[in-house]
Amino acid sequence: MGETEKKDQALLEKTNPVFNTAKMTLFQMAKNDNPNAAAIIEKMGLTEDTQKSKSFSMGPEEELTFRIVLETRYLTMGKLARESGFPVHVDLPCGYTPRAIETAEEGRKYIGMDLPAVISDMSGIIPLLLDGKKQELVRFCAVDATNFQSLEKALRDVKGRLCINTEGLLMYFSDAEIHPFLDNIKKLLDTHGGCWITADPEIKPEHYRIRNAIGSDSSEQETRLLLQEKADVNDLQNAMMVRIGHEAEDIPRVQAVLSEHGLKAERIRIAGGIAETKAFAQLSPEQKKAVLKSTEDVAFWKVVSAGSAGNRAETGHSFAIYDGLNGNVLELRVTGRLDSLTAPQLLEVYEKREAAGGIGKVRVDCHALDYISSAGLRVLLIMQKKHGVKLAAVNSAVMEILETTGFDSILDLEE
Amino acid sequence: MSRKVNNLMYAAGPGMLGTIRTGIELAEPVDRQALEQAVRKAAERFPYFAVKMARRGQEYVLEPNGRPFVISPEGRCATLGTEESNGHMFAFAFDGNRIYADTSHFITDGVGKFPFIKTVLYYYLSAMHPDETFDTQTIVLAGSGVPEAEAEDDPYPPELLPETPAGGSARPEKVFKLPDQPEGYEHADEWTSLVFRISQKDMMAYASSLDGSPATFIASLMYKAITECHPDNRLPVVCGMQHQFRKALKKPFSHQCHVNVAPIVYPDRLRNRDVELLNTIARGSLIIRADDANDVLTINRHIRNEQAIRGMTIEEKRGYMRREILDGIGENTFEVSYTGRVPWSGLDKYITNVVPYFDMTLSGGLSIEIFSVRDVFSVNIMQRNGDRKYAERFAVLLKEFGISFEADEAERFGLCGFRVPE
Repeated sequence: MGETEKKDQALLEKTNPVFNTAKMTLFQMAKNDNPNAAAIIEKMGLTEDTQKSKSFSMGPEEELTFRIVLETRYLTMGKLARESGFPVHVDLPCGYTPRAIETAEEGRKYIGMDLPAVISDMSGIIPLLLDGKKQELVRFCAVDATNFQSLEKALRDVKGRLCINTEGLLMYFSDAEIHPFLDNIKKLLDTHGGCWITADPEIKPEHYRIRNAIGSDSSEQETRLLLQEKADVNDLQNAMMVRIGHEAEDIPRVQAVLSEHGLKAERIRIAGGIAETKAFAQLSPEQKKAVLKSTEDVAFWKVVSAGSAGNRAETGHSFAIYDGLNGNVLELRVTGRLDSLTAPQLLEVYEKREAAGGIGKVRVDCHALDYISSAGLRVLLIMQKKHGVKLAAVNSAVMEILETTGFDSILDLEE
Repeated sequence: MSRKVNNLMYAAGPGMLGTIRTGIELAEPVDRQALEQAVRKAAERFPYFAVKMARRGQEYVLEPNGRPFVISPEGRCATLGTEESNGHMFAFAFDGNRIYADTSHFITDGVGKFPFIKTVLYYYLSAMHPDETFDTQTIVLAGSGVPEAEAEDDPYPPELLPETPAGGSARPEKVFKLPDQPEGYEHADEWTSLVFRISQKDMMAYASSLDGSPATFIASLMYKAITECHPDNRLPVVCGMQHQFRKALKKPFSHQCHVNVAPIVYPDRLRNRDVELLNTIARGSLIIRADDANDVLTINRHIRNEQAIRGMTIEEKRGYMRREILDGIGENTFEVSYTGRVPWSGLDKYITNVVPYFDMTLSGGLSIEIFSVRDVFSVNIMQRNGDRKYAERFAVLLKEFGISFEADEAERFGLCGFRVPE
């Protein structure tokens, strides 16, 4: 980095000290034995002296709490993104975490979005840690999450539904910012399809509950003050944040806010994820029990557009059926979602072909089949009973459904 | 003339009562006299339920029983098959606004007994509201003939049916069992029922948007509730989904018990997954496991059992059939049963709720019965103790999905005893 660039970077950090929190996160991840985090630290030339986060002055209990929270959020978010089945992982904000490396290693597309200073760092470093082909899966874009044009530009040529992940963002928005941001999420989901998963609404109750379960007898007020004191940027109370001790009234309020923006949320509880963290393993059995008990109701939020087709935004692959007879094999290619709205169309195509005769076997090309619901499974079973079905190029999301329901045991799956 | 017993009956006795109770809550207090008359009138049309069990050598048989059905006050359960029930295996009770119909799953199931209960309600409500006109096209009236297809005591084919199993019937080796539920009848006085009255409109709006039925949607929510109550568990959670196999048997009107339990297996990787996927898993599992081709295996199992117990002593038959029933039900974490929407023929104008209860020792420890009355699903969560944590978590999830409901006060429930002839 040249002198001018260093000066620009220093200016950017001054104007938004949240970068310090992002770098602190990287150090905490390295402490949790994440080798990719350590590699990024090395490439960035960071040392504990060079980063300036206030949260480095924490006591051991507080630090352990931070590490559990951080690791839980990181791992759970990655797991939920994978499980969503949506092919494009949008990390908003991406910060300095090694998520890009891990997502690309899994063969999924990754788009990191953040303010220019972070993007400047990450777009220089991450490609150095990935081999050539994997580099093509990763892209970093400077955006302002409240500015739709910047988000739209970043995603303009993206194909496939999005899994937008947000952790460490909403608490820094005022109400004047949160509403435009939610409008932007709605537009992105309506345009691209997919879901938005955020850990942010319940971050404060989560942190407070873990800290108290570990052994601190601090009051809610003290924890609030600590969180505030250790934050590099003042966080704000906005319409999306759940307050400590006010969960019963705030969770329905947040749901109502999302609903006003045409969004619908499902809370995904995370206690299982906490138990899988390395930091959690350092707790005593009593502390572990207390942490799990106290966090059993803490959740991430999975949000989809409450638009058409039963609350689903569906523009990953458009639904289509292509059919043709190859010898006595009825070749079908199904794209998009095969569900109660679309499965009757597949049945109709099949029945017409069957009436015309000449079918000995049915082969379904599933490479662009995004999801299959029970209505789709029922049509497969009808075809299986009459002619036998071979499924080709099944993706992992559809395969999971076939395996868990037992359909994999009756259908012929092509390698 | 005696009738053949269903071979399930050999499993009945202490340790396996298999009794079921249907609670019908009316809009007004029950009139005992009108109820007695209604039961007497309705019984004329259902001679296959007006029977007593007798022992003939090493077999049980059913014989006509001319004595009236017992109607007990204060909701009291008469022990079926004893003097207390006039020897019947069907009994009635009432308490306040409620009528109870008690019988055994070894004799009939929800689908089999519903026409009888409906006819009782028709005569009762007609007497109480003489100006009311009900749609009698779907109510079986006394004096109408009893079709053989409905009454026959052995609806099973004599020979095994050809088997072409649809597959997908594997069960996991180990299943998560709720650790806090007592076993057997030892704590039967702690069995608790928690009833939620859920808006059909809200629930179907959500369930149908996910290709869901009420049963699979409720199963998915309860799975979520259980995993959230047990974050440390890594074993698969199994929902035993009850379904009837009359269609595969080609005996749609048979009055006997034709209930099968299809396992819906939720492996640990489904923890924290969205309800759409959970619902797809539940529905998909049910499509394949409750397929006629798989139900034929159950029918053949019945036929094989029939052949196997021939020549056995009563004691041998009892032991054999108990093992068979437990094996058939399998290991479940919880069960869900939904009778489906029933044609009430206008009777539901005077019915505020219908709540089925059943023998919890045959369950995994937590059972859910769903019944539909007017615009409400009555969801009865039954457990073997009074701890409300599963129901409370279930309620939290309903709220989160924007489904409105009312929760009744928790209620202890008891079921009738059942004695077989010695």
